This record gives sequence, C-alpha cells and structure tokens, in this order.
Amino acid sequence: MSSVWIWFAHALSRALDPVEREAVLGDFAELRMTDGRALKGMLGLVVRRQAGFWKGWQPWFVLAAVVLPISPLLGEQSNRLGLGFFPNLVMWFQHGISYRTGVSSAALLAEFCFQATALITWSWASAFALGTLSRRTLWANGVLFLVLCAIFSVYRGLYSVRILWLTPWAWTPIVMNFLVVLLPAYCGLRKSAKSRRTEPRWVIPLAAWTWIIGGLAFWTQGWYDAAYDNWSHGAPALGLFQLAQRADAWEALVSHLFTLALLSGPILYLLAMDTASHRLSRISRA
Amino acid sequence: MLGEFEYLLIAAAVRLGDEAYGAAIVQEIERASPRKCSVGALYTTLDRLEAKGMIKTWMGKPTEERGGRSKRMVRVTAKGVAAATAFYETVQQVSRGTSWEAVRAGVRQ
Repeated sequence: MSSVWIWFAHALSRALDPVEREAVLGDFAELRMTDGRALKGMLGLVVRRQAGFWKGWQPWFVLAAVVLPISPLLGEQSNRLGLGFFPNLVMWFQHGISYRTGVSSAALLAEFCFQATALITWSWASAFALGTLSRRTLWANGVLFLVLCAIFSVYRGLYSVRILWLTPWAWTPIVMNFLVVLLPAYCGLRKSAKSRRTEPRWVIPLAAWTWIIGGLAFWTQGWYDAAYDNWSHGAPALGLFQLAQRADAWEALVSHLFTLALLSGPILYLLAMDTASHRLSRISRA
Repeated sequence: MLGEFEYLLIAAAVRLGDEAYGAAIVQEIERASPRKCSVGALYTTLDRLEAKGMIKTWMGKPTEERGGRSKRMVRVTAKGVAAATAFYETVQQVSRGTSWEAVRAGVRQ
C-alpha cells in the first residue's frame, strides 16, 4: 500500500520546481515517510505553491483565453468527426457501402484526413501554447484543459456506446477522440514543459499550417450541402475536384472563420509574443 | 512579530546549527512539541522567512540516506535571531506571574 502513496507523492511533486522537488523527496526518503502522510505533505505543499502562482494575471489569462473557450470547441469538432465517421464505418463493414450518398469515397476519405489532422494540430498547438504561456501553472491549467476536452469529447459519444455497446464499432468515436484530441494535447503539454523557450523558426510554419489545415477542415464541412443538392437532382456522387468548383461548398469555411480564428488564436499569440521578444532583444543588443 | 510555527522553526534551526535542513528540522520540532510538522507547511514557512531575511537557505550535498538527493540547508541570520528573541521575551513577559499548574488545578475544580 505504501508504494501507492509514494507513487502519488512523486507524481504530484512534478508540479514543484526541480530544486525544491529534490529537497522534499530527499526528506521523505530520510524520514522514511512512505504512508499517507507523505502524500498529504506533498499535496499541501503543491496546493500552497499553486495558490501562490495564481496571484499573477498569466494563469487567469490562459484559463480565460485558452482553456475555457477552446476545450468545448475541440470537443464539438471531435464529436462531429467521431459521430460522422462511426456510421460510415459500420455501414462499410456490414454492408460494403457508404452511409451517405452524394459524396464520393475519395472525398469522404479526404474529409476525414483533413478534419483529423486539423484536430491533432489544434489540440497539440493549444496545449503547447497553454504550457508556454503559463509555465508555473502548466499542470493545473493543463489537467483542467484535458479534463474539459475529455468531457466535451465523449459526452455525446457515450450515447452511442450505451445504445450499441455490444458492437466494437460503438467505441470508435471515443477511441478516435482520444487519439485526435487528448493524446496530441498531452504531447503538446509535455513538449512545452521540456522546452524553456520557443523558436520562431518553427512557430511560424506551425501557425501557417494551423490556418491551412483548419481552413481545409471547415471547407470539407460544407461539402455535404453541395453534395446533397447535387444528389437530389439524381446526379452521380461529387469528386474532390468537382466539390472544389462548387461555390456553396465554401460557405461552411466562411461561416466558421470566427471558430477558426479562436482555435488558431493561441499559436498566433505565441508567434506574436516570440516575434516581439526577439525584436526587443535585437534592439537591446544593438 | 513571528508566528508560533515560525518561532519553532527558527529555534529548531538554531539548535541544529550546521545540521539544520528540512528533515532534521521536522524531527526536531516533532520531538520538542506534540504537533505533527507537515513538509508543506515547513517549506512554505522557510520561503517566507527567507523572504523576510530571517534565514538563509542553500542546497547541500546529496547523501545516500536520502536516495542521492540534496538537502535544503538552513542558517538563521542575525535578523532571525533578533525576531526569535523578541518573540520569546514577549511570551515570557506576558506569562510573568502566571502559574500554569495553579491555573490548571483551578480549571479542574
């Protein structure tokens, strides 16, 4: 039992500064404190330290500008992808045909790839920006971000699990949400915890990529209206090239510009901060 | 004016001298008083006292007993000694002429 307490105490100690962590864990080892007292002591210290960090404005800014607005958006987009992908997969494996009509299989695959890649990019970039903007409260804000993403991602997915829990396909949306949101977000947090400062050399391409892949993901969401309209006239399914030529397929992108700006916001803010700090350091050197 | 725990911490550190560090202070306080000393309270109090200039801390050498981890060594400054002395004198002054044995016996009756 004692190893469980000490394991939790070690896990919690990651929220401390490395020097303090070393001293406290050393004290536990010397005092042979391996029971609940070690965990209680560590919890008390971490809570006191975190409470001290929240006296500044940065953690609150990150909470208000990144955690609270972006986690529901990621959850919603992930739901959309998961629940859209799920019936297609079931129909494909059980009957060998696509669930929807009006969009070609190649276009469906492209849509899935764009949206999954966009979600991975947004999740990673948001978590990375979150960690970089509030280093000292990284784990408090990070855990809250992951928990909110998980809640918003799976709450509708659980409905399909409850109905169809006997089929392995029912779990697809939840597994996919984990793969395209939670896992990349966790990797982004870890990356920000390891790197002391960001390099504009790769933040610029990342910001550009976030906009491009995000634009493609929202554009694909407009395909269905165009495809259904085409299908209702008895025409064959639209391919990628034909969809690109349809003006009504672009409407979804225009209507989601605000969401796109919100989801790309953290990485753009990071880019702006980095560029400004590099300019300032160049001026001070000159 | 120091708080009660701050005084206990400074007194324990003075008593330990060159061997004053986190775990030793915890043991010293627990040996001298009936209260349990939490590591969280100890380290936040150390920070507060250091910010007030009453103690100085630094990282010592790692030891095998501690799993190869370093100690946070503590030394009480002149300002810390003065504050602890003032606290002790205040307790003595305010307790002058009071017999706790007699008071306890009176409360029992």
